[in-house]
Amino acid sequence: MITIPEAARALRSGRTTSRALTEASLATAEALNPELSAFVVIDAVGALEAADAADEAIAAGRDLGPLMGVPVGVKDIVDMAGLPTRCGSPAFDATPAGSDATSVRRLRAGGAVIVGKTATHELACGVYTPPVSNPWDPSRVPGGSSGGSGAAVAAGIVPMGIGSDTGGSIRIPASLCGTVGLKATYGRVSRAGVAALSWSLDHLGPLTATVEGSAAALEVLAGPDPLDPSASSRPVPQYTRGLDRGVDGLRIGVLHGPPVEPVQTDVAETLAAAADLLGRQGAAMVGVEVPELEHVLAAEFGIVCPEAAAYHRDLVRSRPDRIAPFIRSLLVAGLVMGPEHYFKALQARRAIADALRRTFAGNRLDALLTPTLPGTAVPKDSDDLDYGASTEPAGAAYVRTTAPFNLSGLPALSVPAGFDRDGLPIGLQIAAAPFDEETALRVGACFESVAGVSGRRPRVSAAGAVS
Amino acid sequence: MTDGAGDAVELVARRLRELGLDHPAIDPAATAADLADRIAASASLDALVPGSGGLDPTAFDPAWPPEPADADAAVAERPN
Repeated sequence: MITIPEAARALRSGRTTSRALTEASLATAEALNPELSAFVVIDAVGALEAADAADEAIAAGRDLGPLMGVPVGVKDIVDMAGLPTRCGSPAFDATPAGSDATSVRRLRAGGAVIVGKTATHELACGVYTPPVSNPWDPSRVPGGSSGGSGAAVAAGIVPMGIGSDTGGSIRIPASLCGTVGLKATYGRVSRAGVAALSWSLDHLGPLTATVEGSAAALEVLAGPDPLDPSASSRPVPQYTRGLDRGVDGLRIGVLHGPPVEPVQTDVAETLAAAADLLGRQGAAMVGVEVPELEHVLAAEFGIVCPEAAAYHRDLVRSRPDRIAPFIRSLLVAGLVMGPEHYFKALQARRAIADALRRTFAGNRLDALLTPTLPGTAVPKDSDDLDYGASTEPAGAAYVRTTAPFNLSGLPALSVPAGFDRDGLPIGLQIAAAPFDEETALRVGACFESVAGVSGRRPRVSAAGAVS
Repeated sequence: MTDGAGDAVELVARRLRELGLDHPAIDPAATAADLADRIAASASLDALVPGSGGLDPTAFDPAWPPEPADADAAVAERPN
């Protein structure tokens, strides 16, 4: 599977057709999905109809945008008319959705070809996404909760998958599967028609093979939506412009202290090398600490717990036996605990967002670097991330470095930054000021162009895939 | 007579019944233990939010209100 920019150029020059790309994507899915379980539904008929429509548009000289004719996957918490939204849960029935989510409508209007629905961790609440396998090592987790989209993009089945991100669920699988993942500013992408986990923390966004692909996807997905009151009415920039401006003259913070310690040795070395590389490209690198982030997990789960319980209260009352124990306990706690705890967590969120604002303003930062995650993909049968001298539950470890940007709403991009000693991907997280996705993408594109980590292929991938 | 833990479990069991959550899949003892952990995590936030009357928790704005200096500038630039 080719990347989004490559596909766009090939389609417009007549070197390929959307039908050819879609048939290749479907064939790859058929070959790899038995091992990866990345897709829960494949809609071959609908995909080929959409591909033919895209080819007709191209032949007629109509340009529907950067995803025209490109095969994509959509996480199975997002409504697609005519298909059930199962949310990775046996508690959800097979009733088809009556209409498309706004994001799906935008994809279709932009000529994208939806190949199928990708697997999610149950209720989008978890970081493993069973039974999905990581294409780099199928005995390991792909991350979650958007693990199906991460595996599908990494394996080259599709060049873009939609994910959602409440505490890191786009960036976690992006980091563990070696793809790019973009969580834009809160409100930048409509969530209408998407099953919620936590209304005030949920974001929707793309996982792609390249930074330019993420920029292209955001151009299509972003924008106001009367169906989602949280969707921003700010104009949508052309994110694909200016990606090649480099980082010369930018001030980029490098986060130390909590919540980015401890990290695995290979991750620490990769982050240091990335900061050094960006510095050599002309950016001023500034070490910063934000002590308030020590409380990120308590604030994150203090909000997720009651909001998820409110959203799923009918489910947890009527069919609690159909919910995984970890998630059931979270939902029950959210109903039992009083509002004092919820509002204290919201106050903590405000304190954390204020601290990040002061950090950006006080250091005149354009962007902030962290490792996306403290470690690489754990084995499927392991609950812990191993630091050598200590371990940490992966469910906490994988969230503490990503959740600050859900709590603050800031845009955050994960780009492949290297590999650990076992050949597993390591991600670099680049956060920016509110609605400044352009800077995060610009830094990511610069790093991608000079870091040279995009040439490796996962063990399970399409022949000739660019991922 | 019950010990403290027993009292806590009975309190949780009663609360579960009140909420319509008395189901075999929901164990009051396990729920009580889980709640204790979550309440401890909430208590840890006291270090960040020391006073209940401080930060307005509804004031979350992803666009960040301007810093005071910026706000002053914005006021100065505003046409009369």
